[in-house]
Amino acid sequence: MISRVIHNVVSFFKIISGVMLILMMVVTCADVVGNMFGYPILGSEELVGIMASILLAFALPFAHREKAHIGVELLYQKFPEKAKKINDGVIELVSSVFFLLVAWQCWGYGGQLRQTGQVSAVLELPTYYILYSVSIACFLLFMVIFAEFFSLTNGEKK
Amino acid sequence: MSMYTLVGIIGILVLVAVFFTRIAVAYAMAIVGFAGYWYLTNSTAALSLLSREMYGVFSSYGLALVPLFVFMGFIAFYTGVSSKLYDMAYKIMGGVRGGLAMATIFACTAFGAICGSTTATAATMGTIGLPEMQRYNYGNRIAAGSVAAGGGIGILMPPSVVLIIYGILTQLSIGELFIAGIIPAVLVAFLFVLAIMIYCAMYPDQGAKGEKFSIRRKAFAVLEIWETVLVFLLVMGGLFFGFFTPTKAGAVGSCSLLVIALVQRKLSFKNLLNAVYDTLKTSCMVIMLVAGATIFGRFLALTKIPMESAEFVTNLSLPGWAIIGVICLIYLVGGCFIDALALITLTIPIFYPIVTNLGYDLIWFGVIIVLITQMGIITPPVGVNAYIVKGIAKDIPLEEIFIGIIPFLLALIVAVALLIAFPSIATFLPGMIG
Repeated sequence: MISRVIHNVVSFFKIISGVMLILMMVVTCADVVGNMFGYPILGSEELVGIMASILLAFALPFAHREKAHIGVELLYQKFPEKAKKINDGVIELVSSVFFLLVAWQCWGYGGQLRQTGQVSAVLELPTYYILYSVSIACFLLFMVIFAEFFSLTNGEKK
Repeated sequence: MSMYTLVGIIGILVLVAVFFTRIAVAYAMAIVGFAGYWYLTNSTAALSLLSREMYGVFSSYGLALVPLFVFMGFIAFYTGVSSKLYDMAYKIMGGVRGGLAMATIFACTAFGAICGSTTATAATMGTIGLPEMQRYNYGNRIAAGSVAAGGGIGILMPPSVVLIIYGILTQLSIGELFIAGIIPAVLVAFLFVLAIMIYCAMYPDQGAKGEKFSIRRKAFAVLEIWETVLVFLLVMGGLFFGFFTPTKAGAVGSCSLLVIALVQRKLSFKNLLNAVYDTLKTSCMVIMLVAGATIFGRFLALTKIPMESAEFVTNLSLPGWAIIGVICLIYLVGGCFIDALALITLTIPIFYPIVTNLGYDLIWFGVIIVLITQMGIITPPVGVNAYIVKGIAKDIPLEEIFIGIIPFLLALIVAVALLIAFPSIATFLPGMIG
């Protein structure tokens, strides 16, 4: 049940990321074309930068789920089955705790930036949104990895 | 040796050991870097390092570049531009001995000009080029070798994801790095063709002559690839003449390719979604590598290893080219075991100060590293492209593929030697940017 909810949230985040990618492309092209006719889009680079950070943050859990990250398989394949499971369990536990820490720290730092009222140079958009989105994405990533760990340990009991 | 240096060396050893657990390389760098930083400072400093560095990476200049250029490559991949490129190269070169293998190299180079991924290039050219070469009874070695090695040209030919990452990590101009890659990439392509010619002269039965075409049909084939030429000229021309920033070039490139594909009805909605989602996956993989390398780099900086090794190497009183040679050797050996991008993000914090101290041009050094990693992706045991070829042509034994790669590996070594002897091959074009 919980894993299905996580799965759906990850997929929802993936769609937001995809929309951001198309928007980034369209806004930048509109700026290039507008510039040729003397109507550039004010602060388009800032907008695109913020979109890029949301895109990349929100796609993190999806990328993890789809095993997009590079790992070294060389020795692992020679491990016995039991050692592979213990190895995977330890990795998942450590990685999930790590991303929980990142989520917590980014949320806190975002709060600090919010209080100091830091904004971008041209459009004066608040920058703490970047940290909040990284924090939310890392929290979801923690849930994804922890769910993997949970299903691995449960599978072993059976 | 100071305590800090010792902790740094232990950190590096632990990291290498942790790699073998199959953990994502990016996660491993971040976790080990964080733990080491904590050990050398305190929990508050280490925890705040996490948020500061994540913010730094996710708000960095050049961040938007990665998804935009990766997207351009995947659109090209899903629209089947590659078959036209192969067709053009085949009509021009197919008639000579080894011509089909040469056509594969040129088609790979052209595809690399709009796609930054080597695996995508090898996969797409493998499915087109390999059956053709088998139809003309080409030897397995030359057929598999040309696809695997040709696919690698994509990481040097701009737009190149590896060069973007190098640019972000070193804060060099990504536009200049792109421009610097063009001539070396073409040089490598020519050296590959030369390798095929020599190989076919030695073993004439391995690469039979293909069909010959009239000049008229050759000319038509060249006209057929107008989309690729147009997009490449738009992106690189815009960068070269200073019309665009690299981000704008990436957006214009992917948008124009997308519009052409949609107008020609070459891209279904399903494939558009595939291109978008593949882009998200690759971009996240890349950006997490940068984040991991940044956190690990901060730990290394605290241990002073990069500065001390730079000082040590400078005091060795060895000639510069010998030190560059040793660095190349480290990349070559490392590239056999670790993925190219991961290796670069991991080692840049250490080698960058050394090369800076020696007074070398850093754009030139970027091109050299990319050339070396190009060798890594075709050498055993990790050579990704060799496995991709194996995945497409299941009947060719892996040993045959790795043997087939040898002539191309020699060509790459010649290319590196030429670049070390004549750095202007890489620095000449960026020097002309107005």
